[in-house]
Amino acid sequence: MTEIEETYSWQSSAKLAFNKKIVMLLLLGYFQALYEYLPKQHKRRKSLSYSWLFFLSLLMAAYYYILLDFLSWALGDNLFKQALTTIVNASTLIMISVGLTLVTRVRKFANFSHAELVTTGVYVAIGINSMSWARNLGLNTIFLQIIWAFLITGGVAVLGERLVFGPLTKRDATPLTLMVASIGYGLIIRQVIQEIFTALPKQPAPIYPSFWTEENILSPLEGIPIIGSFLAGFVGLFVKERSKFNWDTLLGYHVELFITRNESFAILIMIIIILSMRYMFTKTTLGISMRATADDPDLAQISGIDTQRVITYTWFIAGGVTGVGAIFRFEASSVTPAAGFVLLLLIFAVVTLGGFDSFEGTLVAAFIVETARSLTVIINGRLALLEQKSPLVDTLVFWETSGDWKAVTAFFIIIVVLIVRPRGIFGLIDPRSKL
Amino acid sequence: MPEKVIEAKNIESGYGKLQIIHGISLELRKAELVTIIGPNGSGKSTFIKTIIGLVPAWSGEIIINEEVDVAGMRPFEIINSGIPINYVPQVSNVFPTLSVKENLMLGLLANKRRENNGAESDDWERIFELFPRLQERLDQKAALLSGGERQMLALGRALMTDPDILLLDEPTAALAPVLADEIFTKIIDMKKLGISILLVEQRATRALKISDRGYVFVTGQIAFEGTAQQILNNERLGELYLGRRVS
Repeated sequence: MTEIEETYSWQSSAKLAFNKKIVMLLLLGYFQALYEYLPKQHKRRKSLSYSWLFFLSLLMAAYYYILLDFLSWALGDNLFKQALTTIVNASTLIMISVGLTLVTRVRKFANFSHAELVTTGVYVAIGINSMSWARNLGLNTIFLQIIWAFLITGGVAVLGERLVFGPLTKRDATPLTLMVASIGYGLIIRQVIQEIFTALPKQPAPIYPSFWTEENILSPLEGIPIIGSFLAGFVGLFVKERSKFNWDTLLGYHVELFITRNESFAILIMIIIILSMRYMFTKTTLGISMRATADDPDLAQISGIDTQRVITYTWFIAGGVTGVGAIFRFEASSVTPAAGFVLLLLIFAVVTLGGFDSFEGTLVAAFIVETARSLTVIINGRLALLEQKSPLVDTLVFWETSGDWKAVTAFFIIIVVLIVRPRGIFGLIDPRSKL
Repeated sequence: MPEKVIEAKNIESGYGKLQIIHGISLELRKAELVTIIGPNGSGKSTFIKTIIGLVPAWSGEIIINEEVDVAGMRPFEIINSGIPINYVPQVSNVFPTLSVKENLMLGLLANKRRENNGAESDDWERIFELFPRLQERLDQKAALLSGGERQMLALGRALMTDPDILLLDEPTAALAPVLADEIFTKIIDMKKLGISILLVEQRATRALKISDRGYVFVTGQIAFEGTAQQILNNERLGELYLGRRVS
């Protein structure tokens, strides 16, 4: 067996405890089949015999088996590291996209100034870091950065509604007019940021308070009986600068990976944001008022809703969440005032793919987009290696493997999904029927 | 309880610079069902929207319950200030992405803000008694309801605010005759509950038969007013607006 054949063979790369993996996959397939075919609300009840269910489980298991093996070929030992990076990227992408979902749903126009809300958020963090008095008082920590980013970015978003979009809407501006106006508002924000901070690259670098040490936080936790060490391990993810995972057998793979506390926080805060937004949207009066205003502002007014106030809250929350997300999106990189603008297309892609109706849609779409992006990079890397070794592969792979294909793949997937399902993954109402 | 629940005096209104309503005066008395008929574009819907504040009144007074002038107030101000009036638009009269329950809850919120006496469950019970079909579909999204069910939900949402006065804009538009009959039955039921109803209808004859009085609008003015029977019996009106042929 040559080296190339060995790399090509999906089987060989999987260091698996075969039986264990099959059982796991069968279970996974079984639950997937159950989920897909058991009666759901509003759907006609599908009768399903047990033999069918069994057959479907097998089918699903086979699907997962192929998928996992393909991934392990493409990623090699990096599978879990790549998965973690993808999850973190998706989390930050969700945080900066979900605000746009909210605004698009309630205000019904494409808000291009959203990019500059992202920029605002990250520059709030930079600004706080650069103020020496804040540093001296210990006021520049990550927690305060989050609060300030939320308040200031939310404020900038509300300002846009008050000064630009609100007055335009009162004069019967069309969504197209509002969109163009939002480009203008975005440019203004960007220029103001550039005037204050210059166009030189800067680092937001989240800073942790001085009490945030292992001795202070983890040691007391260890003392708690039974759950102490587990709790300390979990909290440690957010306290230690880098936590190490080391599992010998996870589905037959040897796993060793590092997660930084910034990454842990990104995932945690994303989950908090999504859950609280979901709760707000479905359970609170404000949330139901928002959805009612989104559906029909006139009817909302007749139901006693002050739609202007609801719209203001919508902008504030959307802006705030975007600002918080921005800190984490750029935590490890240096930014310029154009940082948000570069992400604009990606954010719009996520929101469109998710359907404008739901946070779940945004969540799933962000994962799809980020997975597509990282897979493209990795597979291209693998192919580039193979190309060097085999003239045949070199001939077959006609594209430039060194090129930046990740945006292309992401948008290709988005176009395919939208052709099949124009309303996006979770969109409730077909856009054609609404207009 | 005052005798005149709505008294509109010399209302003028319209969209932008286009005047639609040219000085209409109209009144609705307690527990009365009054129908407005007229050709398309005669300003029937605009007039009703002016009363509830969706279209701002240019001039004139809209006095509710012989005490409050609501001209110039916005809809949520009228509802939230505790004036027991509500309105069911002709189209888009439910929130499509909200569930049936949430739609009704919004009505209830408007009601609770008035700190009305009586338990919440009473409101729900009353709605389910009138519209049993809504109870079966509480968790369904309103967008997935049929045309008839949707109208019932719209009426239910308005009723949840516990109104004394109800403005209905063509509740039977785009419904099959059987369903329209059902809606008319519900309107009679609501009238029996003591609610004063101002109704705009295209099915003029059918609506007038259950009404106490009627107004005929033509180009934003009142062309004729009288009891329902008078309008039904008026030969010229019948020929023009009720689709009756002259023999």
